[in-house]
Amino acid sequence: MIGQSIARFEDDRLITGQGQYTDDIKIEGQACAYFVRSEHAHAKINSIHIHEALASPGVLAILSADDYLAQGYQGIQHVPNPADAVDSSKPSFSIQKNPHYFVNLHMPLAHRVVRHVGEAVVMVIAESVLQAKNAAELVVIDYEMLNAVVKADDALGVGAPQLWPAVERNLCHEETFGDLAKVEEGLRQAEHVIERSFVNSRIVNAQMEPRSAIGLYDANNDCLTLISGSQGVNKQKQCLLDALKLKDDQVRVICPDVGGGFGPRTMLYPEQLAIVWGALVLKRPVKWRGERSEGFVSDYQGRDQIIHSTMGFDRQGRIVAVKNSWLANVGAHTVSFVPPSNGMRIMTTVYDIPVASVNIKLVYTNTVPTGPYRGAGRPESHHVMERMLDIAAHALKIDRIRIREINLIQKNQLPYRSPMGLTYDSGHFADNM
Amino acid sequence: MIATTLTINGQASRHNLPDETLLVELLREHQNLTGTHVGCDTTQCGACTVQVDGKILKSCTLLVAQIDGSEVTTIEGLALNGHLHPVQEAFKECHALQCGFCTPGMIMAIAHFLKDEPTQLNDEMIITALEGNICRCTGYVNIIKAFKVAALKMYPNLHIAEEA
Repeated sequence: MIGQSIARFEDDRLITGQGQYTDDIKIEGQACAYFVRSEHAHAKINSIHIHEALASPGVLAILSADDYLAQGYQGIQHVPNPADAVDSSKPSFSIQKNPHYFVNLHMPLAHRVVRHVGEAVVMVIAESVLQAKNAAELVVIDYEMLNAVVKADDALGVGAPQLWPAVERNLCHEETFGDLAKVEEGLRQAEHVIERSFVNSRIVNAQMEPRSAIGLYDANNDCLTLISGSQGVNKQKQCLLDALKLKDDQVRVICPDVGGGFGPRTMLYPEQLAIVWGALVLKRPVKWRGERSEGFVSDYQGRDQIIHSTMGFDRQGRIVAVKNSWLANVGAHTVSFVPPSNGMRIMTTVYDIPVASVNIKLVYTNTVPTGPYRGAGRPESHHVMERMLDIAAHALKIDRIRIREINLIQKNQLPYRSPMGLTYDSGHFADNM
Repeated sequence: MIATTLTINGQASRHNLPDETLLVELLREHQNLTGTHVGCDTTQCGACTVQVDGKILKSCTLLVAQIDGSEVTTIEGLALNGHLHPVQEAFKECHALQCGFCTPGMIMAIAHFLKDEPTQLNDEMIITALEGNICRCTGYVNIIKAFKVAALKMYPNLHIAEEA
């Protein structure tokens, strides 16, 4: 068995065109949804005019946030703060210590304010996609433009446009991890100190399958079903139950074949909630297939972290202390804090560094929400560490390989406890050089 | 409405559809041939690639009205009499797919390229042949491998240049 490849169960279907991705599923009597999206990064919604669109052929419903709230529902509680990697009984970021900690409910359709380009504002449901799209063109939204801010460092600035009234400087949380006093002492005594900023660019997920969803309502049992390619079903179900205030057995989530995940499809999307709600309103199946251009402005995105690193070295090139500050751009809604949480935990990566600390700021901006993406914060930390070692090697005139060899965790140090509290039980790092 | 006649995977069919109907809509919505995928709506990703009269075309921007009388082959029509096409076999053997969404388009494009024996084959030719097909999972390495494995299954004497 070892060394032999194992044939995948799904391949015979996928190579013969028998896959079942969400859009391949057709439900008898399904209606089609299309979303009118914000063309502004930040604006107040003064009014929404749907009169003309309602009269368009085939239209069944035109729904907005006001309709949703009037029915007593609430936005998605994403629970963006993940479980702590060392003690899973508590959250990664300690909310209790910060009275300013803020997470928002993520509405299926923007309510009163749009906070990023591409945010869904109105859902049009019609007998066919073409009819829904034609009617969507007739929806008139009267916006009052507001100043926008898209970069995390700009968003923290004095006088920067504010996304949420309760969140000063757009800072939803700030926390320092590690032993800052010891780190600063280490840096004071270091022979050399290297300091550098790294901008880890925002990434569009661009999975091959555009996001899609089908909502079903079963009137006999008063329960709802979401059929939608995702990276799981439990989180999606919990978020739907919570938003629509339903009991555990009233929502079912089915995840058929998925055309690429990569992280951002772990969390519930506003459109998935909207489609399920649409099925409940219309009492008939509702289907939505996202288009590629919608994906670019509404699929949760990756990275967008600015990390400033300060690293102290002794005369031989051994790292004595590292201090990072990490600006995480969470976007317009608090969907996930996983990247900075992961990045914090592994910030010393595979090197034996006696003391480390990191200050993390989670910052709102007028951009698509961010979340885990391929490594989810860990690649960002590795990038900083490896670049800092190259910069240090150059500055200290040490060979690039050599500086790594003298700083790697050695076999005889295992099990090794990192300054951020992780236990490394195995790993022959020097052998991998 | 426009009346058309097509032969899809060897079966003749007559259609009377709105003028603006795209080939991919006809296949997916009216023929239930959902193996042809829509990934980008704009002829860039190649997930909707099919063969029309021996040419490979992207069905997401092709009107049915443009191809009246044509023969169309989709991923569902590639395996003959229950036997996988060599390109399908090679994809399976080489783990040339993960999520599988781009796979039908990839296989259709490669099967078309290998329809006639090429005089030679190298990585550059393969990459050029697949420039209209995007994959997001595999990094293409195993797709290129599958391309070569399929080529040798079909033409055992074909010379494939080893890349440095």
